[in-house]
Amino acid sequence: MTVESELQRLALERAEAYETAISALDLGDPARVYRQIRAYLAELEDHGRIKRFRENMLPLRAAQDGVQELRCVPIELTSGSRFEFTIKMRQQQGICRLIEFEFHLNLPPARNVDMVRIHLIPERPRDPLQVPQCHMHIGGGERAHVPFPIMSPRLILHLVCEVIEPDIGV
Amino acid sequence: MYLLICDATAAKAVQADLAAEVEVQLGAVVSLETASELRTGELPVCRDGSIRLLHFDEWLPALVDALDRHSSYLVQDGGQLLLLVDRQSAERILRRAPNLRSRLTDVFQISPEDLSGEHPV
Repeated sequence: MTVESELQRLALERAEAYETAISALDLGDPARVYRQIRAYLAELEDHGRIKRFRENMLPLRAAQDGVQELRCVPIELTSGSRFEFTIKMRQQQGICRLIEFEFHLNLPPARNVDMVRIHLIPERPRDPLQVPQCHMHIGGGERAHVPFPIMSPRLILHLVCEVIEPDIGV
Repeated sequence: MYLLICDATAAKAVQADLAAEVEVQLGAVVSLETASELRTGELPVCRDGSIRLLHFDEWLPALVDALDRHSSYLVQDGGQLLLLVDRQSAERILRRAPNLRSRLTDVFQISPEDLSGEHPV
């Protein structure tokens, strides 16, 4: 087996592992995800981490094919950073599956890194070696797709606000 | 102890919203009860931080009188009692039960949540 074909095989294995992890993750109920995230953002506002949060900044709406879309408009942190996100879920036979998400964090000009984006694309990518289904972009690099594990969007939001935002590019 | 006023047709949705929100924010389970299903002499007493929601699905003067008579015992040790009623019942309860009325923390009008954010209440 050539090095190239070995890499392709490993990338396909990784793509299958992503699909397995996505189908194993049951979010429970879109409304519950909404309530959890709303409570968390309200808590961030109470603690003075974000400047302003109102419920209409986080609508949960029905999209096509039974998909529920939770979209958060840009929210400004008191540090000068800004984040926004979209999460798409579908509830079927009592299980709520993650379909797609994008978390976008813009860091203030004083930082060495201007943005971090975490992205789950809805289907297996055409080139799984270059583009893992769930990946992270750091800075302006659109070509570098750093593999990112599948986890609850609630956990990713915590990671963005509590771990990545205070520490990246400082 | 809170008096929550909602349209009778929205009571089920409001109960589900409250239970879900309490579960997410406090990690607690709300005990949902219906007034017409309470056994005679049974009162919704909240002890040990428990949260009970009593929905007045019909006008029951005997129950209101009992709640009024025992109002000082209904909520103990950090428990919370939520009384969910329609507007007409709310007015009748407030008129008929002065002891209960004096122990209410607040009275709110409540309606089912619109998670789409398109129709803010």
